[in-house]
Amino acid sequence: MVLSPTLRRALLWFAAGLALSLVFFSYLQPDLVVDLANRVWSCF
Amino acid sequence: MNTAAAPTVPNRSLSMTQVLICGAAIVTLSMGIRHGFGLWLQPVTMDRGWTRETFAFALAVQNLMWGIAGPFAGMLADRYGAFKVLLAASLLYALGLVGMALATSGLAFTGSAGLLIGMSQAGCTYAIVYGVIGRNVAPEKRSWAMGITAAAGSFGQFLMVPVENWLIASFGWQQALILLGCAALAMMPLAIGLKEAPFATAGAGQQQSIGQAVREAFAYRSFQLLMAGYFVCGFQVVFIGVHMPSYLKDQGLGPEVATTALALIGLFNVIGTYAAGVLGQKLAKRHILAAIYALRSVAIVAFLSLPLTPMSVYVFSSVMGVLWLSTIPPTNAVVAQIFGVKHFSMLGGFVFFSHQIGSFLGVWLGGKLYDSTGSYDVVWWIAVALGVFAALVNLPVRETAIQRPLPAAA
Repeated sequence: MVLSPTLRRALLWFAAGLALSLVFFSYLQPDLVVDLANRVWSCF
Repeated sequence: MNTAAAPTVPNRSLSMTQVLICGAAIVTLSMGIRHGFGLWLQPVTMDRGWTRETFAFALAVQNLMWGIAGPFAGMLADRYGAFKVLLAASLLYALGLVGMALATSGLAFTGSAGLLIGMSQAGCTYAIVYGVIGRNVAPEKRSWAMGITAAAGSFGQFLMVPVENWLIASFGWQQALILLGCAALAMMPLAIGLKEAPFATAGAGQQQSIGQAVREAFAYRSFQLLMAGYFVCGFQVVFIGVHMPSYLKDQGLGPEVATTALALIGLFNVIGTYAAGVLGQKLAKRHILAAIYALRSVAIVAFLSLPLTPMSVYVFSSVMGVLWLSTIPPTNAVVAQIFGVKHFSMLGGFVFFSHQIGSFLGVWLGGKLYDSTGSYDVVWWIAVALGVFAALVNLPVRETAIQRPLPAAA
C-alpha cells in the first residue's frame, strides 16, 4: 500500500504528537512526580 | 586578488531519509542518556559514601571534556568519516557507563563519568551528525534537517528522564547504568546508516588544511560573533537548568512545580528546535538567533518582575523550552553556509567548545554568586544582559560563503 505524501505527513505528525503527549503525561504520574521531585530536590 | 565563493563540495552518498533516521536515533540516545545523570546523585553518593562534590566534579569534567574533545572528534570525522568516530564514541560511552557503575573511588568515577563519557559525547552528538547532514543534504534543506536532528536530541532528553528514573527504581542504580551502557552500544548499528563513501577531493576548499581552516575561521568576524553568541546560550541554559529548582525552592514553591517545569521545558524544547530548523529555511539565521537571545532576556525579565506563582513558572518554562536548544540548528547551519562542509564537524566542535565554557560559567557563577550574595538575583540579571549582548552580536553575522583566494594557475 502506497500512502500519499499528505497522508504520510499527517501520520508522522500524529505519531510525533502522540509520543510527546505520552512522555509529557508520564511526567505527571503521581509516583513519578514524587520520586523525581525527591531526586531533583535532593540535589539542593 | 582573485576570490571565489567557498565551495561546499557535497559528497551525497547517502539518502536524506537514511541520514535523518539514523542521525536522529543516535542523537536521541547520546543526548538522552546523559541528561538524567543528576538522578544518580543521591543513590551513588549514599551507596559509595562520597560527597556530592565528588559526583558534581565528575559531571563538570564531563562537560569540559565534551567541549575540549569536540574539535578533535570533529577533525577525525572530517578526515576519516563520521562512521569510525561514532563507533569509537559508542564504545567509550558504554565503557564510561559501566565504569560509573563499578567505580569505587572518586578518581575512577571521574575517569569514567567525566573523561570517558565526555570524550564519547564529543564523538556522537550534534557536530558529528551535522557533518554527515552537511555533506549529504542539499543546502536548501539543511537547516530543516538540522532542526529534525536537534529536535530528536531534545526528545531524547525529554524521554530519558522518566525512563532512567524508572530504571533506577526497578533495577537499582548500578544495573540501570549497565542497561544504559547496552543502549549506548545501539549507536553502533545505527552508525552504519551514516557510513559515507570515501570523500571526493575536488575544489579549492578541499585542499584547505586543518590549520588553514582553523586560522581562517578564527580570523573571520562572523565566526567570532557566532562563538560569542553560543557562549551565552550555554551560560543561560545551564544556569537555568541547574539552578532553577533551587531558586524555586528558595521562593517557597513545592517540588512538583519544579518537576512540571522540567517536563514543560523538555516538551517545548522539542517543538522549539524543530521550529528553528524550519524557520532557518525561510528567514535569515542571524535574525532567528538574535530573536531567540532577545526573547530569552525578555522572558527572564518578565519572570523576575511578575509575582512568582506555579502558573508563572509554567509559562516561563514553556517559553524558555521553545528557546532552549533552538540556537543549535541556525548556528550550525550558518557555519556550514560560511565555510562549507569540508571542516564542518571540526568548526562545529570549536563553536560548541565556546558553548561549554559558557555552560561551565553558568553553573559555577550561579553557585558562587548565590553563596556570596545570598540570592540568584545577580546571576539572573547577568543572564539578561548576556542575552541582549548575544542578540546584538548575532545581527551583523554575514551568512554568505566566505571569499577565498583562487589558487595560483600552474
